[in-house]
Amino acid sequence: MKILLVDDSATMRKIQKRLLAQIGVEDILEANNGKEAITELENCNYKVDLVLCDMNMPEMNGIETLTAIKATHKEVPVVMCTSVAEKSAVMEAIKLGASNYLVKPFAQDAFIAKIKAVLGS
Amino acid sequence: MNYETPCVESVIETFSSMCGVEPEQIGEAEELETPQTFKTDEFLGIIGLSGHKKGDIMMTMPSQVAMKMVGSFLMDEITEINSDLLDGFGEIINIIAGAFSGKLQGVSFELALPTVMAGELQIHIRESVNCLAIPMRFAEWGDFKVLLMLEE
Repeated sequence: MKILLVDDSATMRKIQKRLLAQIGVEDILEANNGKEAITELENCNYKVDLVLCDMNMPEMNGIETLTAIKATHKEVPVVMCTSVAEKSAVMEAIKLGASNYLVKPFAQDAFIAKIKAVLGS
Repeated sequence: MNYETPCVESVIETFSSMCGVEPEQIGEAEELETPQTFKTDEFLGIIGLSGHKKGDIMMTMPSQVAMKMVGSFLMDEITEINSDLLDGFGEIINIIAGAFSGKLQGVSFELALPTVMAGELQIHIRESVNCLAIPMRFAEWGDFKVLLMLEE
């Protein structure tokens, strides 16, 4: 199981990695922004099972990143990580093919349950 | 429009969910006279708001409180000012601002990217800004203050 975390906050990536480790996901790629995420996906020689993508990022925001990912890797599920304030962006993301979304602040249990649901386990 | 209640609720919910601690408001919010210069604690996080109104949400606290708070957020111990502390503090203020905006009925704010500063600062608050200073406390770690500044 391989998951790509896209977030400009190293702290948030670290938290997500620790939570994912609790459900046995240790194979994790990280990208600091949308451009790095696209590069990671293009350069990796293996299947990425899930992308977890922040919405509010510099350079490429979450919507732009999602659009770019879906253009070249349509089969990869993308879960958007968003704040409560970004309701309209969430709706746009779902229309663009996002599989689901996580609203910050999130409890650890809620995070794990949503990731499990998307991964189907 | 009452901005204080959704602001306090957002702070409490963010820390309850992400850090497992529940801060409390320890006194009435003070409406600061403007213009004035406000002296911050050793740590300051600030995020700009736009859309419904222009403004900022700021959170300031002593560095020892910030280390405990971000350490809890990160599920790790932080004993010095480092990139984890700065980045984590910024992420927390970002989440608080997003939750605050989401609680307001019929209006919404767009969020800028958060900025975090270490070191006691003098912040100049302009005359055209309504500034609410909300005193809060982590029972476990100490006091902090949230400032909500919105243009008239």
